[in-house]
Amino acid sequence: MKFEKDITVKNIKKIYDEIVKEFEKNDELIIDLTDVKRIDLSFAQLILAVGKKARELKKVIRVKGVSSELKLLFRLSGLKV
Amino acid sequence: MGDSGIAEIFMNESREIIGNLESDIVSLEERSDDEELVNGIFRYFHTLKGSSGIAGFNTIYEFTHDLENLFDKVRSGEIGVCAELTDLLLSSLDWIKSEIFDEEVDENSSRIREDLTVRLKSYMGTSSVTQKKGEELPEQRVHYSGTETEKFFRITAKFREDIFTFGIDPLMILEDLSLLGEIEINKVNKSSLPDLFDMDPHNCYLTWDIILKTEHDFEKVRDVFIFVSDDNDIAIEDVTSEHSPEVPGDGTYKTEKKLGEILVDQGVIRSEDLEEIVKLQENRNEKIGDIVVKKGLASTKQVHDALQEQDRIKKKVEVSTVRVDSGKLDNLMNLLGEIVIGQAALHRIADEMEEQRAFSFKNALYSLDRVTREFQEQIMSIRMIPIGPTFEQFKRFIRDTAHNLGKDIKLKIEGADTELDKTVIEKIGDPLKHMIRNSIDHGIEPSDERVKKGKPESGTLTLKAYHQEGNVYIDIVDDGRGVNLSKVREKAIAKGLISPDESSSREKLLSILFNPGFSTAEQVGDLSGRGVGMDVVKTNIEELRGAIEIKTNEGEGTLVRIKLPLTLAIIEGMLIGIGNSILIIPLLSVTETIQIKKDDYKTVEGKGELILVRGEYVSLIRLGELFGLEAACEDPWDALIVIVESDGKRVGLMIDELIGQQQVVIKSIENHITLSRALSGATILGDGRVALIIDIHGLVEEIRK
Repeated sequence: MKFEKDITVKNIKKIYDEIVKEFEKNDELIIDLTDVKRIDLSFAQLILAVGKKARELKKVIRVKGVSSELKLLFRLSGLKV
Repeated sequence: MGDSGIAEIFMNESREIIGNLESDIVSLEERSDDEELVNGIFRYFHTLKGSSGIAGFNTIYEFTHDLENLFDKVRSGEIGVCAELTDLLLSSLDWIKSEIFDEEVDENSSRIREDLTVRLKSYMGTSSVTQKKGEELPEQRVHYSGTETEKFFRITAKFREDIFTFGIDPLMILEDLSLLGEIEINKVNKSSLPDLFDMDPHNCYLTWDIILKTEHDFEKVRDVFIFVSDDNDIAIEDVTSEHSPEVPGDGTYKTEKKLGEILVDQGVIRSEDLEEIVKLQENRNEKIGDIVVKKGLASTKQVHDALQEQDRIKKKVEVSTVRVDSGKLDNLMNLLGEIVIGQAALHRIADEMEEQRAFSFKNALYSLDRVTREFQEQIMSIRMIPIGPTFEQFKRFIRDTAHNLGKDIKLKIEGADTELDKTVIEKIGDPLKHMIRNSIDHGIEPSDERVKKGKPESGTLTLKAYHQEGNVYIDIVDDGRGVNLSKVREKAIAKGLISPDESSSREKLLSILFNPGFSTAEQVGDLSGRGVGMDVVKTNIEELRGAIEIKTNEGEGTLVRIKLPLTLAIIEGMLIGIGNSILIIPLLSVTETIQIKKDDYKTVEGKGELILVRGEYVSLIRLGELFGLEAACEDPWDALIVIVESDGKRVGLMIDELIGQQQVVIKSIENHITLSRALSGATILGDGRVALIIDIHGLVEEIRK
């Protein structure tokens, strides 16, 4: 799954629906953030939740293309990146 | 965009902030080493960012975030101030202004923003600590060259679940926090995060427990949370003592004011004792308070009180000002007006009472009058705001306008603390701008012309405000060409305003400048010269019960003087009777009330009726005739004459009787009731009757016509 531009609370519902749909269909999910400029806490929480669920269901979630800006934001949200 | 009420507050607040920013950024060009100014600008950007987030103006939030970061580098000395930076900051403010205030959506807005963001980023790229894509995390931190020692703060933050609906992203706040120093420990509690399939992605579920290492003080850390501290669980604690090995156990040691110092200030212990106690503390690793009590220098209560005082100092918040909707102030003033009217009614009732009871009743009323008057003064003082910010907002305008015309103009501001009623301030901006534009466009010469004339290369425009005789004066002074009176005369003759054989005084010629459509400019420029405006300026000022005059010396400069009343709401009025009607004359305009002898009266052709007052003939105005009222007195020597003064000109107003004086609340009368400039409004008297208030300035003008 590849996302672009900003992922914030404004479009989080759409992103949430897309991720949940793909998550249910696949055992391995790659979320590509190479073209994502900015995220807010709503997206970081979603990644936390999907990671937790993946561990429970023994699925694999990979997040790639995380810029240094996003790394800081993920780290502040309690994600290990 | 967020809630409309919040948005409205934001718009009002941002108007003020942007105005201040424009002025300060222009000032920064000349005072780049002024630390206070630099910090002030940074704070304004920070506030603008925070409040735009709260109000839901997300694009502005993100944009001002970049601006704040850029200016932070200015603050830390990494980026120097130059004209290019000033232009960039001002252009950025222009975009913010259009985004907030323009009603029509500018289709280029996104492009302009992107261009500006590129410029901002590239400007920041010149800094040595710029974060580039791909750099590792530690390099993203900006370290400040603060002079304070390192501190540690523990911050626990639990944001409300619906925080996103307020346009606030907790991550942005934490990112700001990380810019203050280094986040040593970041424990994020995820226990409230629901199952993926049950979560509402619009809610905030995480809580934080952070240890921040920083060189900044408590206030600075607290400021990061300024917009969320009221309705979210945010706790900030100075835990320096727990993290800094060189500081002994007493947590109070590194706060703003030490416990020992407070005890000395309170006279509980002597400073010599304190030195000894500090030494003891270093050896024993005990708390100061314990040592003081053990040594019998202070009681437990005294230490407890000092600790409370220390806590108070630590928690001191800026509560000295409260932002109030100006509409509430207007309502308060209106209500006070009703009280004044009610009191007048009570006085009237007292007049009709039997003597003994009237005496006690009036005594009680006089006390009430005193309180009401004080109440009024307090409300008036709340409504009074300094003219400084209004002057300051012209800095940018003058800079840009002068640059456009290739002129070099310095602005001088005097009397910025002079206070005026807020309504007057709100309405004076446009007329002032017009006069300033005229000075820049027509008055001040280009540098080469000035040098040829032996003047300094830079022109000076002075904005000056001061109080005098119950009025506020605003002078707009330039050291430019001055008004060419012969040219004014030529144009006036050409327009048929004066006849060629008429010898007109300086005053008369200058007053022609206020005629609609009159301009001496040879070319119509972008700025002025269309002859539209001076008459509007005059009308606007007169609507504020003010007056405007021009003084000029050709080749030396021009002074435009605006005279304004201190307030528009309540005045001291003299109640006068004409027949059965009551009129009100503003007491400030009254110089004396006299009775004349028959010999002191004469009529002069072309000048009308004149009376002799202290050796000088002044015009006599029969108020009854002027307002179509049936007067009781026919002859001036049987009547009373109130001498009033306007713009240095005295006139006598013929009245039947003097009723008294009282505070009157000015109620506006719309144009459909009267077009007479001789009336400024009406008031309601104690008996419920309406009395018209005479505008002396307008009356004199009307008579002149």
